Amino acid sequence: MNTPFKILVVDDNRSLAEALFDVFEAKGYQPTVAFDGLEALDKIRQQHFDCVLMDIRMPGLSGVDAFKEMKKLAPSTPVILMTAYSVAGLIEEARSEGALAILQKPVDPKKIIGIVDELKGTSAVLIADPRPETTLLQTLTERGARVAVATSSADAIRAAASGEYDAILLSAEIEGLTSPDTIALIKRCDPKCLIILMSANPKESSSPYTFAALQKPFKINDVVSLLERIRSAKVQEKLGNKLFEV
Amino acid sequence: MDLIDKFGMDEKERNDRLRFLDFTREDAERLKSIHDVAVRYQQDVIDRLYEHILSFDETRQFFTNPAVLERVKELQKQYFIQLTEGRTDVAYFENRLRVGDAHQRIELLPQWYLGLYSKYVGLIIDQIRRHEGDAKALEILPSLMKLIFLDVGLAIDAYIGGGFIDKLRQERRVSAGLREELARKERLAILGQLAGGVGHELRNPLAVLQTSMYFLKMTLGDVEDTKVQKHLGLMEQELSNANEIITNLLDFSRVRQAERIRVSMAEIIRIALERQDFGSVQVDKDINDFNVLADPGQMRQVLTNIVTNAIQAMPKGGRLSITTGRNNGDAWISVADSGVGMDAETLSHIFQPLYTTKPKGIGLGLAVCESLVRANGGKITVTSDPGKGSTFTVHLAASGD
Repeated sequence: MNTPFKILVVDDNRSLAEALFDVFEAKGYQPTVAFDGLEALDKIRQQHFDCVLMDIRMPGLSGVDAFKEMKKLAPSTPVILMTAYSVAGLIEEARSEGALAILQKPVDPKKIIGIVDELKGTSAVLIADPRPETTLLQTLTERGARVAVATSSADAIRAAASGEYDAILLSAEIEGLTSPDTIALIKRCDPKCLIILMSANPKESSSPYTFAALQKPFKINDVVSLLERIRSAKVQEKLGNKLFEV
Repeated sequence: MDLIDKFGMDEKERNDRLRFLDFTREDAERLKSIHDVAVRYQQDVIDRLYEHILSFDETRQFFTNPAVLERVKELQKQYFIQLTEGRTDVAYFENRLRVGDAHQRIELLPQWYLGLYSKYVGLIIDQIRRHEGDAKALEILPSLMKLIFLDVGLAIDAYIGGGFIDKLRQERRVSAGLREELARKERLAILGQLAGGVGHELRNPLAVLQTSMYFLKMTLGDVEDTKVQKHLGLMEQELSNANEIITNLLDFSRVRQAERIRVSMAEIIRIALERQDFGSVQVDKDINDFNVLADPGQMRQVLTNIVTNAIQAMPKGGRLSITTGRNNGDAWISVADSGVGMDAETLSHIFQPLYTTKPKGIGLGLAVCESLVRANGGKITVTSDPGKGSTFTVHLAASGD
């Protein structure tokens, strides 16, 4: 059984927060509501959310400020902002701070569900490692990812060529080709595939082709964050400009 | 005698004017009779004249330089003395035209210039009364007036002939236009603020309605009660109408800065037509593609609006023709319908905000279009034939490639 997908809905308009709560619940999500920015931050301190949907204009702490604080508490949680107003500065700021989407109110619920469904959607992840760690496999599977394993660089490249993986977690100690060569070939086979380099040595982590690095030994939180980032990237790739309509 | 020739002031014309003013040899003699007094007191007359001139901003502005003032005072003395020389020959006419011309050249407004003649009469009569008595003053007054009116007539000739009047006329036209434009902008700004405020505030309740509506459709979607389904459908439809009205209001309240890029006309048209429901309207396209400099999103909005109007003007079907053309730097898109058309009265209000002939709608569509096209440095024109149809043409700057 997968962990339920948890959504935090933040809006000082209680009617809207509650209406969205009911819609998410009916769609099989596990929503929580907060009626202002501070309450939202409290909720985030207490538990992990897979997605936050938040109004920008709220009394006290604005949605954009709350979002900045959230990034300190849960850096990878995707945040969708909504606004009835078009305050150009705030919107630009939210965008550059990395909000997943900024939507114009009244937001079509179909559209929000579309984005959240996409976020929740099963990510296909390939672990390319001769000795894959159980923590990694287990955490990803629990969080709803479809996980496969390749033990050699040849297998990893072949899997990439199939185009069915959203991300490949590549061990620096992959057997066969060196990891930089493997990365280059994966990128050529499937340019959209996100490559994450797993290594015990932080120096090996950066390459223009890699999306992120995961340092061994893994912490569960790191893996969860990584999966969230993969999901956000996938949504952004798929929905593109539809995410910023203000 | 340049000005005499320029103004066609030949001997016949000069004599006609003098005869019409009834200026006779006797008048000339009477004026000559005050010549000595005039010469003696000229300094006094001129000083008092300039005291008057320098006490008004409109006339003082020409004398910022004291040297100029002294020189002009000397010329003024000559002018004054000439009034008492009893000569109205061709040289006199030329001289008067020249004086008028000089004043229109420095663009002294005619009302201020002609006003000086009145002051002159007052000053001269006052001098005569003081030094020669009331009877003398009364005797020469009609003669002086005749000559002064001759001068005024020639001054008017000089002002008209010199081009300053034309320039004034043009300036007034322009400033009337500017005033109107300013007033229009002010009205639009107030309306925009109001529209924007109301629009934004309505978005919150609409967001709730829309979300609740979605929830109801989700949970009642498979209820087999046709009435329930009908009402769900009605609510959804009207919500979407309300949304559209608010979007229009907001578009109107904030025409954002146009981001003009090079964009293909055919592409703008294609996208604008993409989601239209043409019903029984037949669409003809004659599109020469070229690039224009415009904000693609805004132009799409403009065209969508115009095309929607055109379709609504043909409830029983008809023909929609979209054509493009280019004339050097001017590129245009024309949308013609074979619909109901508009009379001259409607046509004159068509771009005014809140003007509408439709039972539904708040009359902002074309006002938005007009603002958007204007923001893109273009203009929008319309022609219409009641009963036959209307043609809207959007003119834009062709991209220079």
